[in-house]
Amino acid sequence: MRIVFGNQKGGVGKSTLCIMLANYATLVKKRAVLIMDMDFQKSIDERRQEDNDDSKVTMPYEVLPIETTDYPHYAEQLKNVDDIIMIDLPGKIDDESLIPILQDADYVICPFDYEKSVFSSTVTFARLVKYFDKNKQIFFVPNRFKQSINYDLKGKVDAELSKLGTVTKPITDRVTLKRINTFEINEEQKRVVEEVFDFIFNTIK
Amino acid sequence: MSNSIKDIIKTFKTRQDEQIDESAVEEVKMEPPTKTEVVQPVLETKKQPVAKVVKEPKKKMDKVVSTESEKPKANQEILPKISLSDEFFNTLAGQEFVYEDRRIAYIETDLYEIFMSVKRKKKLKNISVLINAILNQFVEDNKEDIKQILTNNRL
Repeated sequence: MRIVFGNQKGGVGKSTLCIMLANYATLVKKRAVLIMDMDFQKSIDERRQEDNDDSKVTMPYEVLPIETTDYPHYAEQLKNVDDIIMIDLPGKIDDESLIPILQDADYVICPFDYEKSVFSSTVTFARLVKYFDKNKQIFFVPNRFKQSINYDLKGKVDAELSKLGTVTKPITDRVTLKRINTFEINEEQKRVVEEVFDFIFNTIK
Repeated sequence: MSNSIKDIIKTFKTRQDEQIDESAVEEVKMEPPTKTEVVQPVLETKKQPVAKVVKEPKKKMDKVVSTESEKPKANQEILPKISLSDEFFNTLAGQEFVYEDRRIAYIETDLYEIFMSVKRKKKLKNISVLINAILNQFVEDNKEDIKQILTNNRL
């Protein structure tokens, strides 16, 4: 199963969400996971290298830093994989090498926030995904949601995105999510993400 | 770990080896060394360590900083530019590029390829270390200009 994390807008928390879902899938759901870090920042791979340096524990999953242009070399192997392959994409869409990755994805997870510019980028990205496959399932995950803020655009954004996919409950902004690593999930982190992640797992299983 | 994931990791490692080979050949072609007797064995055997024939590394910032700061136009701020992609700027968002508590440079277009190339070849573990080093070097190299700009209150 190939789950792609993408959005045209950078900085919406794609990589963090990808790590959190990988941690949750392996450590809570006991699923086998592989992350293919295709974001040009390679922040997941860097985080893993730091974790390897700082910790002696056995890592629950592998992280492979791969360029999007290299994807065709893996495409065949990725077909019909029962385990979960998570692919973190760069925050852009003007790149032909993204096309086969989006086409092959079984599910797309698209983190976003309720800012006007992010909404526009999110819709553009989702329309691109739908252009290649109108039946592709997209999960829009409101990320870093601040409960103290009254988001003016929330209603309209949710309504528009619901036409393109499933808008999950928000993942609230918590300091604990800024302290994630690639090998463990603490109870507080689990509490913040489990409702959203359980919903996703129950939908895709 | 399932067989499928193992297969993918195996492919990854094979690809990595191939890319290191390609990188070594490119490096030799792009930077013809002056001593031909050193070059020959490297061209014949791809896996020779590149470091033996590579000249002293260029200062990457030269490419990036030069034009704007060297040729200020009339009525245009003498503000040094660093070039980076918008997306890549996000990685610098938490790292203030400041001098004496003031932001002294803004960032646009593309340095990403340079960073990734250096990172791959030098196997740097954390790219932010490299960015910081380059930015610090940039501030150091342009200290006098920056002082002048700040003195003239041109920011």
